[in-house]
Amino acid sequence: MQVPYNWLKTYIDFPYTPKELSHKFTMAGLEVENLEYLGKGLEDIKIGKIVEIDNHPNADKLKICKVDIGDKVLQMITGAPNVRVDIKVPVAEVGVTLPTGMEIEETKLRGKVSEGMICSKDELGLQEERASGIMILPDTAQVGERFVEFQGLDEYVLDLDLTPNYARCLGLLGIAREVKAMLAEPSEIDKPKIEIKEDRSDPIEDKAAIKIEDEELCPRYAGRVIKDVKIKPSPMWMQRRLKAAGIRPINNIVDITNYVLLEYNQPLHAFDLGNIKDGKIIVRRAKENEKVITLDEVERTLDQETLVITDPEKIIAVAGVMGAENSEVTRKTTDIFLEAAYFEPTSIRRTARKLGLPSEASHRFERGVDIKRVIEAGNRAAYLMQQYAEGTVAKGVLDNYPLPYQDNIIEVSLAKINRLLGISLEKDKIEEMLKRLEIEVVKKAEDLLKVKVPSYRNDMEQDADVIEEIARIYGYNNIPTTRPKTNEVGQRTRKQKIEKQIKNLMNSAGLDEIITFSLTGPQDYKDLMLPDDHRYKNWVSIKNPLNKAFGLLRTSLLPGLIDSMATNAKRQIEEVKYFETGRTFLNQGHRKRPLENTKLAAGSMGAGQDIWDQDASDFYYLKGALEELFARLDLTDQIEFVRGDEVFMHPGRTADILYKGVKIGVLGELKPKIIDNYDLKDRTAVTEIDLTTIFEEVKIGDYLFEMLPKYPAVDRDLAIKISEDVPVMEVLNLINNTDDTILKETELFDIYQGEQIPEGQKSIAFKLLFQALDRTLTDQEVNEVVNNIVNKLESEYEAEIRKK
Amino acid sequence: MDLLTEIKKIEKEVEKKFANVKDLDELEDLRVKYLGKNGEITQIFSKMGQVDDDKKPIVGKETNILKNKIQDLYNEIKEKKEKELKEKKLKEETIDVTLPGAETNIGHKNPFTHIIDEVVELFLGMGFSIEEGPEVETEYYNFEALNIPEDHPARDLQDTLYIDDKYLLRTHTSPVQIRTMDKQDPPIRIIAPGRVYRSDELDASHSPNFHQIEGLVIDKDISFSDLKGTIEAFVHQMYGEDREIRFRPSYFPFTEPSAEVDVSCNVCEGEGCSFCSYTGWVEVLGSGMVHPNVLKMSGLDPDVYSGFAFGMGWDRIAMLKYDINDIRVLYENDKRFIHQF
Repeated sequence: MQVPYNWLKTYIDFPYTPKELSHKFTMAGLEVENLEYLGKGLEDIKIGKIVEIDNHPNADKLKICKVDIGDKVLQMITGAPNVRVDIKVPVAEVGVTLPTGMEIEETKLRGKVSEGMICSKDELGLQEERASGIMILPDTAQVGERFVEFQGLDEYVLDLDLTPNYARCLGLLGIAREVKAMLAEPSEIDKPKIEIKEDRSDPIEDKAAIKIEDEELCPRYAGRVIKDVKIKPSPMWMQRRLKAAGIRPINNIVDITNYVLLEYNQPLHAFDLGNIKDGKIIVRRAKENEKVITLDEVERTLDQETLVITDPEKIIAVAGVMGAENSEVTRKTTDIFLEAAYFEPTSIRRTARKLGLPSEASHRFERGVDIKRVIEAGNRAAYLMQQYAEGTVAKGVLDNYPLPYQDNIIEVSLAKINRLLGISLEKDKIEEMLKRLEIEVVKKAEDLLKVKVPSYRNDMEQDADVIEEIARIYGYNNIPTTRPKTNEVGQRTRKQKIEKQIKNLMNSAGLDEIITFSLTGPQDYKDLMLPDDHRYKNWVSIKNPLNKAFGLLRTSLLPGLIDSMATNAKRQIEEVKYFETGRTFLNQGHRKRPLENTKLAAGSMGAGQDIWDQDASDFYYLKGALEELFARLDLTDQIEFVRGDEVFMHPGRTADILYKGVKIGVLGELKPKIIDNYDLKDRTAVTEIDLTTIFEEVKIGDYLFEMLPKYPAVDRDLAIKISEDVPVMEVLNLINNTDDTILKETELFDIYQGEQIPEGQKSIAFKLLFQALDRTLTDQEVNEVVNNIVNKLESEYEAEIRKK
Repeated sequence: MDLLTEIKKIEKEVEKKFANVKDLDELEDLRVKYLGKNGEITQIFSKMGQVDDDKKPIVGKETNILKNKIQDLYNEIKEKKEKELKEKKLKEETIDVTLPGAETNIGHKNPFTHIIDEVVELFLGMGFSIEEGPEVETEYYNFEALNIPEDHPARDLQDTLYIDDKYLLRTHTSPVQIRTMDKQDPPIRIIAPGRVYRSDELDASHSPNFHQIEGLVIDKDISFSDLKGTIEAFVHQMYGEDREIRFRPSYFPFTEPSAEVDVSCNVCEGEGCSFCSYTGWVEVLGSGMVHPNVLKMSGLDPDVYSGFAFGMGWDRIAMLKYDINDIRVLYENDKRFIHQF
């Protein structure tokens, strides 16, 4: 809602400057988004009259003008072809800066002094394209008058961003009421003038009739008839005010309905009475598939939910939304039927949305207009048509009001007001505040007030609404600050604690945390080259996506992660170690709740040396991070990494991650082709783990002290040759399972293929650590276990023990 | 040459040679030469047979004196040389202490995590628990239970993304309020951080996917002044003790009275600048007393219980606090960006 400051001032007197008013509004809940001065940059332009013109002696195209600007006559040189003696023009004196940034200086043009500039429209910033000559003002302009005043540009406009509960402020009278409530001194609102001279010889009943067929959707419908109107432009002052409020002037009749809409927050519609069959108005629901061509020349198909205004033959308007072309006011129109009505808000809202036709009218109807002021607004418009369209107002008003307004009475407890706001107000003070808001106290008891809410306050339903009004008038910033008393202890949920621990561990392992979009598009999965039946393609689609790129919910964190790594690779950042924890969504079928799982994904690109010398540094870096993570979560014994076959991973370099034998994730190097698709560095590896099981199984803070050994440890190195197909983890398990008494640790420290090792075999070396809690171990004991291990390795894998 | 002369000669020689010893190796050679198994001293002793008996004690004594003298000299010089060597070594081991230390490779927290850790610590301290809820929601939790019936103009305030006619993507974290009231009786004190979704084009200040932090307190005798005090503690923690706060009336369907909270602009300190649209204030969160309809729908009697709720943009906090002017930077994950936090 754009509120012209001076226009508002015609309804109520207040001592605030535009800036102060702006602040007051914002602090009262009517947020001012912008405060604009319409004549910005034109403040110093004056109106002058050209009193004399001479040809320039030294230039054919230049003229020397004497311009009277009231207090003096100045000489100005111009090349404009349209200068004439006696015309009124905008003048910029020496020292004035134009909106274009041009500063006027005293200059000499071919030897003659110019003491200012006669301006064209483009020089004043009033039009974009270059003007062919100077701007010529109407003769009504006064010499010496400020240009902004004459043009109606001496006006500030406050742009209010109104929340839905401020529907009453969609009209200037409503805003004036808000100003009134702000003022400490009581003040009254100057109501718009209504002085209708009715044509008593011509009662409206002879010209028109109204029938409401659906009272629910149309509780009130009123009309007036204005005869013999002259369609022409509306007066300049009205046009200027409309423009300042952001409405384009059209003709006097349309402008008047818009003007009253802005005053009263009451949409009106003017029909050409000549096009209403028998003057008979019928308000009804449309028939299924009934058609109408609206004012914007579009044919619309309606349904039974739509309320329409009709005559006995045809639809003449979609109620509250837009008129039909067939009854539009045109230059030929002489008689007007003026509609002023109250339509049921929800129905208007649905229709406007269905037809995609939001309008100034529907915007107000769907928020609820003041049903009690319908007639007054109609009368105001009729009066203005009488004055500015030379119309004659027929006698009487047709007012069909089948569902009269019921007074809205709310009970509110004084104790509750004070308790809820944390203040202590006396009853008298509260009453005084309510009075400023035109809320009438109809009954008082010890602790209870019964108040009657004005009909324009359809936002008020219960005591909380009254309490808000009191808080607003009292001033939010005058309410003290306290803290709620509590004995409660705050907690994170179990899941949050574990997730936080995981994030900390991943950070400690050297990975940076990223956040990616969970709203993604099919393009994000394209470069992974997934088969159609891949589980990642079981996504949840958005029914009404803004665009395809944000058309579905992610099923995996990997596309976002890989994309983030690719972004860095493109920017010559070659080493990236990232992780993310977040939710993914799996489609469970139509109208079934999608499965939301929290996952952990991590990626490594360009990690340094590979400890095992297998050109898989990224893979082993991530694996190390995960192993440490599982170790710290005390899950090592439940977790296994086994050869996997994920389609987007390198077939020889991918593992499934199992928890108690059940797959919870994957780890692997991306396929070379996919690495190419994304322009990642070679050997980039990623992992993704579903954390659901982990959230369930991890024990938080479940540590138990174990005696520290007092006796020395003994270590033995063991190197074996074994088939290269045997996974090291199997060998490790075998060793560890051989003894559970004195074998404390088995550490792999070397793996080797090449010289001295036959084709198809590898050498692996372990350090075995033996220790007992109660004694120093003897060589014999240790040798026995080592021999057992050796025997098992030999029999199980035909391993050959390498001499040290 | 008799032995005594020889001893004298050796003694002189020894004095000279030990005085000129260069290093420990040379010293060791001297030790072997004189005191070794076949050293000069041993040789003197082996020649004792040639000495007259009456002179034997003298020669023996002199030899022993010489032997001791050599031994002492050796010890003295050894100690000295070793000390010199240690000093030399210390000197040689000097390193450039200005060289950079070894890399530690600890990952960086995401700015979102920095923010939420700070917020969560504050609210845990005030007795709040941390809740969360599903991102896929129903009309009921996202709208109806929050007093936003169908056809309410307030639905225009948020452009909702739908999955089908039953499910939608939550447009705010407020459904967690309802879910918490569903499962827990008052007193309730929670904050709920999470992702939310709106049908917004991605640009410098909008994103279809962003984050919010919700707060809810329900108990007997909770007042608007409690709301103010709690928000004030939050604002001072996150934006600094010196920031001014103002509350102004606003509208949210699920609170009444409702308040928008502004803090004084950090850039211009309240003078007015382009960052705060020349108002001197920056909007940081929305809040209000829980609407009686919301309490009733969740089975609580508004005459017994009251409460307040607040909600804020998590992304926005990060942007304001860290001076980030484009929301997209938060989701782009440039390593150089993350390494700033």
